[in-house]
Amino acid sequence: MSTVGERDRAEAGGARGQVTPALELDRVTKRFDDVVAVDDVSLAVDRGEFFSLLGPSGCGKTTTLRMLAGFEEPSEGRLLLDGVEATQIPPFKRPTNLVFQNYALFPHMSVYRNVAFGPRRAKLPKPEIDRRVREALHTVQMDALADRMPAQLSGGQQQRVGLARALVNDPLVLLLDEPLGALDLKLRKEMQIELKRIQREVGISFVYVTHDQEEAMTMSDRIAVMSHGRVEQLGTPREIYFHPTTRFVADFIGTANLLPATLVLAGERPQVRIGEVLADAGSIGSLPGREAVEGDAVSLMVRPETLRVMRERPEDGVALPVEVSEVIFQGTGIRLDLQGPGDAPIVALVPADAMDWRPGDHAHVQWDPDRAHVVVEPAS
Amino acid sequence: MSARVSSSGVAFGRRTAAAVLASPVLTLLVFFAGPLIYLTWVSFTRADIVGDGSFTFDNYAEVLGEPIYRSIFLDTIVITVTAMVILFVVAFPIASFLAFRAGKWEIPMLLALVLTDELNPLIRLYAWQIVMNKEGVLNRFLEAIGLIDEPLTILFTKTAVVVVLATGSLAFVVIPIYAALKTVNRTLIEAARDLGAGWVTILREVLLPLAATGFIAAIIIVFVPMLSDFASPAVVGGREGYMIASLIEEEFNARGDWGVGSALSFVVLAISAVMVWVSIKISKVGRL
Repeated sequence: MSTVGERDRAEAGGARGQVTPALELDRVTKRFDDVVAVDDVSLAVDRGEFFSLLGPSGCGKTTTLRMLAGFEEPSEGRLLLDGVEATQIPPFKRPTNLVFQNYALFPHMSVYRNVAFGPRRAKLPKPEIDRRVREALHTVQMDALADRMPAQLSGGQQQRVGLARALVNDPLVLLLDEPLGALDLKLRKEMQIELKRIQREVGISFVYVTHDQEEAMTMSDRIAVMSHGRVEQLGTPREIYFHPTTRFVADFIGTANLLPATLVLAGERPQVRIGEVLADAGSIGSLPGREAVEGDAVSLMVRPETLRVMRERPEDGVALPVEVSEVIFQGTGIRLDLQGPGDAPIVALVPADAMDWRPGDHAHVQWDPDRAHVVVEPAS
Repeated sequence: MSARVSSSGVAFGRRTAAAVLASPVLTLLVFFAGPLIYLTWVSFTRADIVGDGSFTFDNYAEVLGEPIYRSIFLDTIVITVTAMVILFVVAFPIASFLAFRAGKWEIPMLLALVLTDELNPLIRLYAWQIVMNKEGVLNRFLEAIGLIDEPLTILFTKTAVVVVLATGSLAFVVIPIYAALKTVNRTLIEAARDLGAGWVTILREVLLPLAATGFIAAIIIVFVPMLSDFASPAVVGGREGYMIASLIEEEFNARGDWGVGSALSFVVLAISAVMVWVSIKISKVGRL
C-alpha cells in the first residue's frame, strides 16, 4: 500500500513546476494589529487546478482568499498572478473573481443584469456581452430564469447565478468563499458534483475555501489544510487522508483513531509500541525541522473503516484487546465505539451485516500495517 | 372583538376601547380636519372679510393668475429645490461615512447630528443672522484670510435663506439615507468592486438604487416643511428671500384677505402632494 502514497506524491509534485502557476503566494503574512491571521504562507495553484483551502474557522483561510481577491493587502510577502507581481493591484483590476458565501447578488437587478455587470464594466460590445451572459447562464443551467429577480430564486439557484456572474468574466482564477455554506446538506452534495463538472468544463483554476473536509475531499485536486494561520499540510486528498503530517490534520480530516504510542523504529517501515503491543506501520509523517527518533511519543493513526473487529484474538498479526462501549447503527454500516488499552477511545466502522455486538462485549481489533500511519507530535 | 385582558388583569371591552380612541380622534377632527374644511370653504368664498358666503373661483384665479404671486411661488420653489440639492450633496457623503466607515465613531457622530437639531430653531436663525451680517463673523473671516476686500451682502438674500434651510434639516436627511445605506449588505460593494466597478459606478449602480427609499423618505420629510417655512425667510430672507409662507401670513394678518390666503395654502398643499407622489413614483421605478 505504500505505493499509494508514492503515487499521490508524484501527482502532487510531478506535473508542477514546468509551467507558470496561475497563482502564487510567496511567504505571505497578514497581521491585523497584533493578531497574525496568516503566517508565512507559500503556495502555488496551477492552471485548471481545483485547489482548496481547508481549516476550522479562524485558521486564516478566508483572509488568504481575501488577499487573493485584493480586499486585504499582505503585511509581508508577495502575490503573483500568472507569474506577474499583483500584490498592489486593486480588486477591480485583478484577473480574479469571487463567489460569495451569501451570494451577494444585486437585489435590484435581474439575473441577466447581475451576470452582465462584469462584462459591462469591461466595456465589451453589446452583442458580445449578451453572448457571454447567455453562455455563462447556460453553464450553470439558469438560462430559463434570466429575467427573474434574485429574491424569486432559491438559495441554490442564487448561488448558480453568483457563479455565472463570476465565470462570465473568464477570470484567471476563480475564488470561492464557502459558496455552499448556506445550503442544506442534500443540495450541497449535488452542488459539489455540479461545481466539479463546471470547473472541468471551463478549465479555470478554482481556489475554494471551506471548513467542510468532506467537501474539500470530494472536489479538490489538492488541498491546503490550514490551522492558526499556517499551512499544516498541502497535498492531494489521498495524501492528506492516508498520510497526515500532523495530529491536527489527522484529526481534522475524517475520523481518525490516534493511539498513543512510543516510536520503536523510525524510517521507511516504522514500528511503535502501544501498551504491551508492538505494531508495524506503513508510513511516518514528518514535521518541518523535526525528525522523529526512537523513543519519541507518537500517535499511531488508523482509520475506522480499516479496522477489523473480532471476538477471538487472531492467530497471527498484531491485535489490540478492546471493550465495546457503544453500538450505533448508521445504515451503511455499524459504528462501534471501543475502549482500547489505557482507556484510549477507538472508533471502528464495520459492515451492517457484521455480527451482533453489544456494549460490554470483549473483542480484538486488527488492522493492515500498511494502512497505519505514525503521526509525529510537535515538541511541547 | 371580544373582551380583552390588559396586562394588569383587568378586562375591558369595546366601549372602553372606543372611549380611549375617542380623544385623539376628536382632537384630530376639531383641530385638524375642522380648520382644513373651514379653509376649503373660505378659499371658495367671495369676501374681503369673512362671512359673505357666495361661491367663487376668484381667489384661485387671482393666486394662479397674478404675476406677483406666480413669481413668489417660483422663488419659493427655486429656493427650496436649491436648498434640497445642497442638502443631499452634503448629506450623502456624511451618511455613507456613518454607515460604512465611521466604526466606533458611528454612534457618537449620530448623537452629535441629532443634538445639533435639538438647538432651538429661532436661536439658530439669529445665530445665522450674526454670522452672515455685513460686519458678521463670515465676512470678517473672509477678509482676514484675504479672500475678499469688500464685505459680501449675504444676509437678506435668497442665498441666506438657501443656506439656512439647507443646514436646518441636515439630521432629517442624513438619518434616513444612513438607515437605508445601513441595510445595504457590504459584500454587495465588494462584489461590485470585484467585478470591475470603480467608486463612481458603485455609487450609481449599487448604492443609489438601493438607498432610494432613504432618499424618498428624506425628500418627503424635508420638502414640505422647507416649502412652507415661515421663520427662515422672515429672519434672514428680507425682501429678496421672500417665500410663499410669508405671503400667506401677510394675506391673513396684514391684508385680512382670508380667501386668497386659503387659496394660496391649498396651492402649496397641492405642490407638496404632487412632489411626494412623484417621489414615491420615482422610487418604484428605481426598484425595477
